[in-house]
Amino acid sequence: MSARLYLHIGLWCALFTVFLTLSMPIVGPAVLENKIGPVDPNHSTDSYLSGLIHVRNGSQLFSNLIEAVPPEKSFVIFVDADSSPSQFLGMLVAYLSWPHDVRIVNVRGATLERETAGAKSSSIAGLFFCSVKPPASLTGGTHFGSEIIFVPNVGLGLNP
Amino acid sequence: MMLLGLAGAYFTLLVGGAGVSLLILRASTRLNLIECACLAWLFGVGVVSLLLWLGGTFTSGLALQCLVAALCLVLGIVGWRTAQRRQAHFSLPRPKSTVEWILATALLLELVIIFVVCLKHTLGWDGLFNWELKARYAFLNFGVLPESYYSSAGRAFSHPEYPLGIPFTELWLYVWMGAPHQFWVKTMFPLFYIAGAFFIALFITRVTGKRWLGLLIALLLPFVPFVTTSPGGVIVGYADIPLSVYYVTALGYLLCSLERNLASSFTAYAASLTLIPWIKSEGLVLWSLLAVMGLMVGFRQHRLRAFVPAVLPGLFLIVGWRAYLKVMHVVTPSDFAHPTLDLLRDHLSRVITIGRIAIVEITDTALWSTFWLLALVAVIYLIAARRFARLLLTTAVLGPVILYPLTYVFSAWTSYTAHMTSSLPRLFLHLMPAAWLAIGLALSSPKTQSETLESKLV
Repeated sequence: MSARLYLHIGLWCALFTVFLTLSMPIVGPAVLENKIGPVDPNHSTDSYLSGLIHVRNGSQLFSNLIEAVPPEKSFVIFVDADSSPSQFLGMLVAYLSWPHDVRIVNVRGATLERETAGAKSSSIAGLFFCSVKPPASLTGGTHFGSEIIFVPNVGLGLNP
Repeated sequence: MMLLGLAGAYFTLLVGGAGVSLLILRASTRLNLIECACLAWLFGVGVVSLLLWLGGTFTSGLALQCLVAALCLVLGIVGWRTAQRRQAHFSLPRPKSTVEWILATALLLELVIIFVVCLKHTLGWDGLFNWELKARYAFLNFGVLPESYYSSAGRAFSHPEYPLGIPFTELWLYVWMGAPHQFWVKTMFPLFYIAGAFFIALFITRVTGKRWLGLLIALLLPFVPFVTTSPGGVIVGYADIPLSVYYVTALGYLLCSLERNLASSFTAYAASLTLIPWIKSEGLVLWSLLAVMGLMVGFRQHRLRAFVPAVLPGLFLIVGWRAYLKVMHVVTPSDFAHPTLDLLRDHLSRVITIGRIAIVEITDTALWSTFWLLALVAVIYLIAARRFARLLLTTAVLGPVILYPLTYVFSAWTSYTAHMTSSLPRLFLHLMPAAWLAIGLALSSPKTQSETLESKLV
């Protein structure tokens, strides 16, 4: 074997050794974490709702919450513009609200009152506040887990 | 009952895909069973998702399911009869030495572990909102995504403009299971990874003649931390690993076509190339690059007439999808601004920052370990080899590494740096299998690189 071949083998052995030495402590524990299941149709959404707002079987409960709403009515979802978990919750609410049309509104504290006032319409079935405190002027809100508040159309002071 | 439906979905998909594979490989009389199975999966995904999309424009519900299933069966029968007519026979490649047996056993074990690991995780952010969401909504609307979805500003976060390759494969599983199911749908993602691992082993074996090397590289694949741990990898139901597999498949067949001048390799390249922009929007960059490379190969082999039609199906798909989105009044995507010369001039100052962030991302050992250092050394080897095929492979790895970051010149985010850090690593993932292919070829000693061992192919 030529010196060039030894160099070639030595170089790649060194490169792979460094690669695996850095990889193993990251990949190994990642492979071992979590366990399979539950084998549930709403496996992912339930898991997120459980983690974020501490509700079990959240997807089904959410469907129950909005099942009486006519499909042509829409929802407005308020999320905190500066909070990723709040925005993620807003998307989860939008995901689960199908076939209702939705509008996601990113708010910062000062603009919330104006935005909720602008959302009052007879075509809207209700407002969802995801990790956002609804203005005091809105009444009749229902808590869904620790971070979501649903204010139905009635609470907006409009006829349903 | 649900599992029976899931089995039915996979069976019809694989029959359709196998039919296409057998038609593509019709010039070969010896067929590698593993290669056929991997192609059956990749083309099955393409066939089913395209048929559901096209069929959904004029029918829905049970009629759509029956139509797609019937066409899959027809494709399977036509492919089988073609293989029979040409008296093709299947063979399962068997390891030929102790080292190959050890590596093959370890690889199989590793693939089982990857499959199990995928089932342990939830669908990630994009996996849920960009892909599964479309499958669920289409299922709830009798197999067709309604126009109101495409035009809904409230659901723009789910990127209605993204292509339907992945979500409509998920839809196919739902249609057969009779309900959306976020757990069972995850079973399809490791299949892309498995196909990718086998293809890398196959292409390295085919080009270098060293099966042990192919198996070794396939075995090393999941040790890139991003593949098995981070959002974007194989475990969270994203489209990035599937896209990377289509990319390396098209690239690998193009290299085989160049090195071995096989007609079937070129047809497989063309077919894989077509599906790249159907998996993810970013596939357009990869498709364009591979199409240009295909034309260069055609020019070099004086077979330009054969290469031009190869890019046409992909072109039709890209244009057709754009036209469809226009008809559906899709809500305008807001991540990137429309590229114009004026905007380019205005944002040119971003290039230095973009380059800096790209280097930071690519050298993040928590995501990549030293993978890109390996790839860099491999690229130096390939450039030093001064052979057309090796330079082509170098372009396929380096091209997107440069092109992807440059797209952020047109980022419409308030902070384009935040846009980059949130998505660039996943774009680099598209090149990971291609870079492993480069590493495999670089590892092969120059003395035996030109060997072509037909016996090891099947």
